[in-house]
Amino acid sequence: MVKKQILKQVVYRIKYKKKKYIHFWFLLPCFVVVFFLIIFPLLYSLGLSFFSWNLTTAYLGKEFVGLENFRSIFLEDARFWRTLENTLIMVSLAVGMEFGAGLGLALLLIRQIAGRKLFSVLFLIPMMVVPVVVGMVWRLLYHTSYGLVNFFLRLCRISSGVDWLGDASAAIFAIIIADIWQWTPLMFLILLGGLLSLPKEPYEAAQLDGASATQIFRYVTVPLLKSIMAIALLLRTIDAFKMFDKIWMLTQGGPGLATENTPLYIYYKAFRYFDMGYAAALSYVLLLIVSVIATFLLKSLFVSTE
Amino acid sequence: MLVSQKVKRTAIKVINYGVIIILVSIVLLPIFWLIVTSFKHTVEITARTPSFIPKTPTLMNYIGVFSPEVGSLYKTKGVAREFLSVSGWMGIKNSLVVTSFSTVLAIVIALLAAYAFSRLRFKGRDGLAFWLLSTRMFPPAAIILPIFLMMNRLRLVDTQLALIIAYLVFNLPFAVWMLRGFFMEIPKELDECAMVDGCGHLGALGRILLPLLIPGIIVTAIFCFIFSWNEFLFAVILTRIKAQTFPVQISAFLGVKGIQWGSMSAFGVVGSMPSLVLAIFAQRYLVRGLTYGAVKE
Repeated sequence: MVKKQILKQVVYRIKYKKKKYIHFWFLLPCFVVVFFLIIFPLLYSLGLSFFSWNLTTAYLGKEFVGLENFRSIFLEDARFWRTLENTLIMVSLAVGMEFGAGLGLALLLIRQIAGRKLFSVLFLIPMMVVPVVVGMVWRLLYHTSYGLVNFFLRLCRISSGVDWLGDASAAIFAIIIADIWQWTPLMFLILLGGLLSLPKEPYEAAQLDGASATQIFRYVTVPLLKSIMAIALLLRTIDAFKMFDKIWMLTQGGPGLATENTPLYIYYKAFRYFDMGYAAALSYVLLLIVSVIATFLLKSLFVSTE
Repeated sequence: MLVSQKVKRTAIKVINYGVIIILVSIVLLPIFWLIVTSFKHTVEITARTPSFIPKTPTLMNYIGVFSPEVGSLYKTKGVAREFLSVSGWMGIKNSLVVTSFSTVLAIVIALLAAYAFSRLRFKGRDGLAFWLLSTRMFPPAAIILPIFLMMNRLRLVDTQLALIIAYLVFNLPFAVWMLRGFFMEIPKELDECAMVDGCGHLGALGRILLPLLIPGIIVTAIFCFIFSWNEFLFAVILTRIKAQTFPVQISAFLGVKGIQWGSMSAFGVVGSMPSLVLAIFAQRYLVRGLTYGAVKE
């Protein structure tokens, strides 16, 4: 017993007394990188958002305009509001459907023991395909004349063919469907993992009390699975806000502005119109919107890991 | 009564399996279509009635994409010809270099940081670790502008180095967080004993913890590799021609009149292989990695 205490003291002395600031050296490389790649860019971006700076008229230099960029974004920029609306539609519909479908699939497969592993591996494939390739495949599938989607629509005599990517109202759904195809498996795997880790006792108790299947789901599964559901939803939500590659491959934001989301708009502002100050301000608005959601996410992560 | 219950139960089971099989085929159809298309001639791809098995299978698409004279396949004019007259190997090669170097760099730096975050005691430790993870959630649009201007100033645009560095933006916080999780699964007593026996911090990390951590390192590295391999936004902004990674190169097919679906599919199949194979390899840890360690199976 005494020996153990002495040992602990020795360890303590070596670890924390002799080199009190040792952690500094271990963290240094990491924070040098983080400073130059994350902290400095974030501050620079923030500074830039108060300036009017267009690279095509770079000889004019940067001009301090205060909050003008933000005022313009919120009050005058119809295109920003349109892209924000598109973003919110895509995020909510895609994530909502992915969650529903993923949960349904997980509940379906939890009962089946045989073949569950194989199905899980098969479901894993879509989310591991390079997103740009996913966009490409769906572009081919959506092709008006030789796409597979329209072929099936014609086959079932539902429609003589939809111009999926050229029609303003269809295009956004085309993108949402492609996203659902790729990311439902993630929802499914997370929720299946959650379901498999649940304790058996509450279910047995509920069955003894004569609860129906829907009651068991509502009053046993949902409360137990809550934190994992929150993680899955918020992770996907944050990711969906960043969607870029798929839209780039499918429509590049068109037709018109029908499928342009905020990240794509920022890209165009910065690298097509070279309006750097305005783009920086836009990116801060997006950052704020996503940060609010990220805070929720981190809170729920905290609850589930500690 | 009993018989009807039995019938009911089997019926449910059959319906269950039926639904699952239908869903699996829907999920796999686009992948199947990608592979099938890559073996078809253009005439067959653009036929109004699609064929599910290529009538005259061909390897031309694969050969075309990876041959040096691919420029003629793209049918481009003027400046664009020089731009595209490179084989698909360029993109794959760039992707391989960028991805592996960025991954190794992230892992080495993250190992040190994760050791501090899990083994050393200092003020604000967990808060700092959480903050680091939270940067992973930022929309990259917010930091890409200054990074581009920085790389432009350093004349690094269109070099592999620019991407190797830029990919640390998302790989480093992820690797620190994951490795911290793996460190915490190793009992503290092990390295404490080593330190009593006279090991320093680096000795304990290198001799005792590292060997135990190898599976965790491999899993983390696989994820860093997949994230960087699939990355598009940074790559499209920070490269022009010679440092194009696979996703950027394949997206350039779209800018050409009359998309070459066959070659594009062949390229897509080859370029999707690395991340797919690695993902299946790390399958057991997939959920853990994609939820940043929040869900452990």
